[in-house]
Amino acid sequence: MPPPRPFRYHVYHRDAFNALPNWASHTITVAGLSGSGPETKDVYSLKKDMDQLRVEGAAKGIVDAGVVDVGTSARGRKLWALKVGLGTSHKVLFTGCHHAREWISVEIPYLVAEYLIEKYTATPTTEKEKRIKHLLHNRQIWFVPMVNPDGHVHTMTAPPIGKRGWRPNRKAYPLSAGTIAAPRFGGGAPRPISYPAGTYTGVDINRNYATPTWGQETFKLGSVKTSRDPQDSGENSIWCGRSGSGEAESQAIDALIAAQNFRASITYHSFSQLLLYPDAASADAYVQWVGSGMRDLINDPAHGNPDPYTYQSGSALYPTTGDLMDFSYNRMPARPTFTPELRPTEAIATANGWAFSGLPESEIGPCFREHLGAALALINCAGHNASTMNRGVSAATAMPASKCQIVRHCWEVFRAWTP
Amino acid sequence: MLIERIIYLTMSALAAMGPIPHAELLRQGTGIVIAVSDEALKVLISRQAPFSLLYFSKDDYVEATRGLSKKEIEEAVDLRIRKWAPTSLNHASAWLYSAELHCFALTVLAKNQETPSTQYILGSHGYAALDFLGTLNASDQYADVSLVDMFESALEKEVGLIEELTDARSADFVKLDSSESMDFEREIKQRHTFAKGLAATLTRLGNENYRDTLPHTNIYRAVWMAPADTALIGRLKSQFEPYVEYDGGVVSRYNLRRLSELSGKKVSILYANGDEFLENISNTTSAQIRRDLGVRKSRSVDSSTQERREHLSMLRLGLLLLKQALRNRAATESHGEVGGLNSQIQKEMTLLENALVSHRVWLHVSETATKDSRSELLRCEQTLLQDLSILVALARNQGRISLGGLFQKLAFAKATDIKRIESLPPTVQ
Repeated sequence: MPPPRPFRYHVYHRDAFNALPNWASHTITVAGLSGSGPETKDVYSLKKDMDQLRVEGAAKGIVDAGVVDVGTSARGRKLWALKVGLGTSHKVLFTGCHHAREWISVEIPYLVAEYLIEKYTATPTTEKEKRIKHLLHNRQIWFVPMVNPDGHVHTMTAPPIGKRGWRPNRKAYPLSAGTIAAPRFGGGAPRPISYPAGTYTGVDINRNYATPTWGQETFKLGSVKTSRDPQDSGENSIWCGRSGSGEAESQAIDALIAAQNFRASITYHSFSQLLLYPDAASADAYVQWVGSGMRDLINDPAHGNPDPYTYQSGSALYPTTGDLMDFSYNRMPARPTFTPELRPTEAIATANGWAFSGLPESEIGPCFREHLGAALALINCAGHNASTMNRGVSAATAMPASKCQIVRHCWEVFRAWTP
Repeated sequence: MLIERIIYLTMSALAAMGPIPHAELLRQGTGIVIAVSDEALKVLISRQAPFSLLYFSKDDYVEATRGLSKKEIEEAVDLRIRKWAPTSLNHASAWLYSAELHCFALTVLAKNQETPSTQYILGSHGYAALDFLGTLNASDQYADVSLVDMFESALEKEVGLIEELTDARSADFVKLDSSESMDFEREIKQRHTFAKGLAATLTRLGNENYRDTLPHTNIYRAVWMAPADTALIGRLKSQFEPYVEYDGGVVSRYNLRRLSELSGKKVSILYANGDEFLENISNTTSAQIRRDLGVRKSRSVDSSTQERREHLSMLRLGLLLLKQALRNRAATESHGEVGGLNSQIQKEMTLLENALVSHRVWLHVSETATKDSRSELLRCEQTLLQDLSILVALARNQGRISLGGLFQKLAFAKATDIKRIESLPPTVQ
């Protein structure tokens, strides 16, 4: 397992790591935030670290050594994966880095995986160890920390090639000039779009999933948030692509969800310090019970974050279509599925320039500590069968009724949980 | 040559070092901000003094604190101690890059003032500067990037620069100088030829995405928009764009293609490079930001024009460095594309040199009219060598072996550069 080491960001992989000891860091040069000059960073290799976790977890009997990745990106990179736990029907999906510049969204799912594998023991003596053993013996957790490796590599490549602020994947579409009557989510007149001939690079993977609403444009305050216009590709892309689940990356996750019948899922993003739930789950007592519990765990004052996370529906931030959270809930109805928007808050991002890849390494540890309990809670709560009868609320207790009485403790037990 | 670095340490730590020549700048809490020479800094290092490097030069400190009140200076220094100092050496590459740009600009000017035989030597010196910049950019780290992806990146940047030049050609300042407009026109045509060449290469290498179409690109500027109504702020928030409220409006990055969304508002472009705004707000206090925005908002047309020219030259330089890295990579793979790239690189260099000579970018104000660029160049190179020497010492002190090795390698190269300048024949009067 890794020796005590500083929190650092992960890079997909570099050949230089092959000659380094396990768990070592390597100094790379990335573009500065302004793009015109370089900045050095010490980073870890996601491939190498996950390979080593796989080996060590397999030696402990809790990681499937045969699962290395869940697919390949548009440019041929692997979506590295870890399948952790011995459960066969209570499965949970952790994903990160749909958006390349959201570096912290790789680290949280990775660190949760590392934590579980590191802390697992077959002969627990403490309450925590017993809890972890219970989780790993009764759950099956799939970790895919970097869904968008091509984009992430682009953000971490030396200047002037690398672009710190890159968001989408790196798929290029050469298109003739065209027009689209883009349907509007929620109804209303389609937006006429006309685009010139060009090669358009960068689909927003988190607008590309084949939800029933894929391809319907969304807006907030007059600004398009899901776009059918290829001209909305590029660095800040919100282009939903040419077809639902049409991108290699979304296809890989789509196929994984189709094959695994997950009971819960969580997909990490940044920033703003929010915990989002699907609009369709607004009246689902079980999902709300789990979600509000996770919010309480994240906001535990013991974590020392003076700015609490806000729990709200996805559309309260801004409406989107084709995103993984809505896709997951559509494919796994009544199952808890959430999107944390990680550190920092908007105010801190603006004041310090800490938006996206500007978040300093010193924030990784505190962010992980405040999310660990909630992550474990989600895994634990995936053990409960959220059938129709469980989605009501008891008039007597105002808690989810009947079988979901048991869920009262599915997240409570992780209060004040520390690594 | 006296160069002063700005450091912070506690009063007790300073007292424990014995007499160290220094200039006191500020007392902050239990500590003190001082300017020290490199000799004094090396003594502190040898005595293992617990100090924080705040600014690589006193000029940087003076610029950072210009126009601020005492309290605002204290806040700026406090921010620097907390945020920048812990990873100070990680910012050294960017600082050296900027310093080398200065020397490179002087090289080009000096070359323009010399006889043909000396011009040849200074031309080599210019390419040495590019190698220096390429090393800082760690272009050896492109080993993990495929040749095809490198060509693709070059094409994207080429098209991006064409868009920038096209926008500049229509900008107000160009009308003041019609020769500049014609220069842009010629350069745009030249770059279209470059772009077609790169696209053809990509097709030959198996990437068909650019056979018939060129990349679509976006330009982002940092823009002041007023009035700052809730709809505008809401829109910026929903786009996750950091913004600063200023003078009844807000400043944020904005896609040039979408400026029409701001119809009805007052709009002023404050940063030609929108990303530079992001970098500035990540490292400065609100007082510093307000000061800088005030300067930008009230600057003359000439000043705004010069910033745009610097931005264009930065883009030209980036593309030139990328094409060099691409050529070097193609050469190691014995690729047939080397010849074409060599031709583009020579033309790129000419375009960049012409821009630097015409518009004197990357120079100090006092240097823009100098007739003795060679002396200024020598001074620039000697300063940079001294900078590298202290950075080597600082890196070693922090146990940053590979970073110290990089600075040492660059110092050797810089010593060679200085010998080259010193060996030039006397200037013919």
